[in-house]
Amino acid sequence: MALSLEALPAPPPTFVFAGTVVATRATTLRAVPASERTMAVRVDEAFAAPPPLAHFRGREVTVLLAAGSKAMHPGERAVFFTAGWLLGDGAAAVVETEPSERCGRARALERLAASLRRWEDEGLRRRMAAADMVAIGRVTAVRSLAQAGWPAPHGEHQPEWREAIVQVREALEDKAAGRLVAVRFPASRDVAFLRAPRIEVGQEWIWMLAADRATGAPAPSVGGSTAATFVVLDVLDVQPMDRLGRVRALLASPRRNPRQR
Amino acid sequence: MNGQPLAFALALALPAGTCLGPATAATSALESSGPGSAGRGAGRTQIAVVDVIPAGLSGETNQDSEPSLAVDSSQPLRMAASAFARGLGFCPFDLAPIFVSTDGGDGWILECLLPSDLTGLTADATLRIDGTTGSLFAAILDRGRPSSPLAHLPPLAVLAAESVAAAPPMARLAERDDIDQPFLEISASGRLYIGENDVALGPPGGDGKPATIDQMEAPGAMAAEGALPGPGGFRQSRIEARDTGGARQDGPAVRPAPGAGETVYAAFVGWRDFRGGVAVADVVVVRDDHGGRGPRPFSDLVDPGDGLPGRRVVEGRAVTFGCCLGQERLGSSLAIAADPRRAGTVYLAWADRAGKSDQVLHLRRSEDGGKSWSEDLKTVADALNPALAVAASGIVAFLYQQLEHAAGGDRWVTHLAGSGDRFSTAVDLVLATVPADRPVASYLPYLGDYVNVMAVGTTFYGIFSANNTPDPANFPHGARFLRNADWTRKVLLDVDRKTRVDISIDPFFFRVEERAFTN
Repeated sequence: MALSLEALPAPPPTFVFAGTVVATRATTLRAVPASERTMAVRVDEAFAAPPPLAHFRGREVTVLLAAGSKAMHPGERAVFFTAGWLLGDGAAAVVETEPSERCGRARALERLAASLRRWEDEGLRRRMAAADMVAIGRVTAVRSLAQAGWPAPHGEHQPEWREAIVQVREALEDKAAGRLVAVRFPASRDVAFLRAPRIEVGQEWIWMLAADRATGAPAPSVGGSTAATFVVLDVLDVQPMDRLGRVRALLASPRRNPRQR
Repeated sequence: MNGQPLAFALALALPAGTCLGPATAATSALESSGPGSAGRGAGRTQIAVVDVIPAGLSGETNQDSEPSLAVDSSQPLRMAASAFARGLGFCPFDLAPIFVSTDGGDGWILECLLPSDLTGLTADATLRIDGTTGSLFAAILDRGRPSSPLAHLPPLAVLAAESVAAAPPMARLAERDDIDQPFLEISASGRLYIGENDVALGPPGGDGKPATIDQMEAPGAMAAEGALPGPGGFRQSRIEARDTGGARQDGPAVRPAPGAGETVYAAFVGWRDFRGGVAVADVVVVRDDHGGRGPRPFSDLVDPGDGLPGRRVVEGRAVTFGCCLGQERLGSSLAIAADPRRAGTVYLAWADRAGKSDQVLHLRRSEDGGKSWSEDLKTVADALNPALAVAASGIVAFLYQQLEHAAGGDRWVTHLAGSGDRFSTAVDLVLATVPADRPVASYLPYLGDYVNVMAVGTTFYGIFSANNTPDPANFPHGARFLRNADWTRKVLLDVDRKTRVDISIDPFFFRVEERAFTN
């Protein structure tokens, strides 16, 4: 699957909080040298925080401003959109991922949700752009390629390919409705395949299918004809049906060249 | 998890108006240290074991396997560690954490630094620090990049940061597809060597000789000049000279070992056949006397039997590949270390089947540059993850993890054996002895395909992964836990110091003075 290497948009913030600048050119962690970009900021209220920062209300964190950000002043209050950088014993440093803003909780969460959606949509759009077929289909059978007579090379990162036969109900892209396709996916427990989807008989998904250039295994014969073969490697390649509206909208928007690498 | 991105979980993490109470006082060193350990200010002890998970990550339950350690040889208070660790959502979605210490390993902080994807994990990673510049280098399989169509693996990326606590992103020095298990070492002159299995050279279309050493010129100098080294960023040296027969590949572990002067050794397990989960293999050592810079790298050690580069230390051994010893997979047990004073002295450890055990570690030594080898100096049944280091004093440390079968259930026992007389005798330190059946593995590797030990001055530094139950009986020399732990009830606690946290696998740093092996 030839995913574009063009940089994804900056990831969304993971720590959004209302804070007060306590000191500029300051840090709260010894490991961080003070500079014109570092500030000690008191967390007045956390609007969204990962578990390690959930207890930081009333405490100071080091904020590393993005390069080129407008300087802030002691006493200045704002909502900060940040992500983690360093986490110590009761101290943390975060990096600014988007410009701070003087706003309330509702606006802060609205910005965060928009950031998350942008990030997810771009990830999904890229997988769709790299797919050779996007379709809705149900799994009718699953088998191991090795047990079907196609042994794989030996290695710790071998995917241990399995093959799902999928009855295509509707092709969102590609004229493939009504046919059976074979979808190979990694079943290995190796850490490299943590994001591989777990596919079982009876499941119905929206599939982002890339032509199989990976397994080398021959195409199976299904119902008297040779099935087209595809692979899925990532959970993003199998979308739940409740996301159909979003998928259709993304398909309708302009795409990047899927063949770039 | 299918189709449900992790991102949205964060937006729901904290309900409106939630206030979880004022910040608690910083944890007292004694509260988080097991009995017998060295708390801060207690003076430097001969043996220190530290769980590197910081207090702020007390709620984490990830299987933090496959650790790597980098120590600044010029300023050994500064070090960095990696493992398959997540930051509990603290890190940005495209970064995975490492752990950094600036006090010699007693205290650790989490740093979001290595490229990642929505798993929040790194894939295979090894770290090293250039003692001349203090720069941190990493050789990783970069989850943040698309996998190749051939090997469906994330590409190898060689990364650099100015120091252990530099702000991300790391500079990307080089990248290459279809690489497995990159293992980074750095010479005293700052040259990087990466042992790796070039999967593209295996089946279906390669020549079946994937064992490779990639090397780069002194990155510090390159960074200063603003130039990247060579096409693709590497000089590639293929070190498998022999036919791999029906196996059509080598074992995944390729380990470089810079030695004295410009001498560099490397070891790999050359497969000659493969049947039923067992490789028939030679354990091969290669050597380069000029840092790998000559026209025929790693060809300075020739086997007298066939005249080819690479001394076959043993031949035709049965090496189990796959599952399992306890919950851990097999097939990557290989280590080599060179004496920093004597270019001709090198130690080697590997695993093969012997007797009733599928996995016996062997330790051997050469004192003539690999031409001839001792008989086994030590053998250990049911053991894996060997690592070796030789101090300037000549004292040798041999780290490994053994599955011991006890009446109360199997246990993973992490040993550090040290010898000052070339392993005629040895002192065996047990750093950890922990249940082997808990936690249940959520992926492989369970503990890791490798561990690390290195010598800096008169101290051995290292890292291993293990079950993190805070039980004094599990740590014969004590252990310091930075994460919240109740050593009386033997439970882990979350940041609120009340909520129990499930047992998991954590990376454990250790520091052992060499006099522990000579007293």
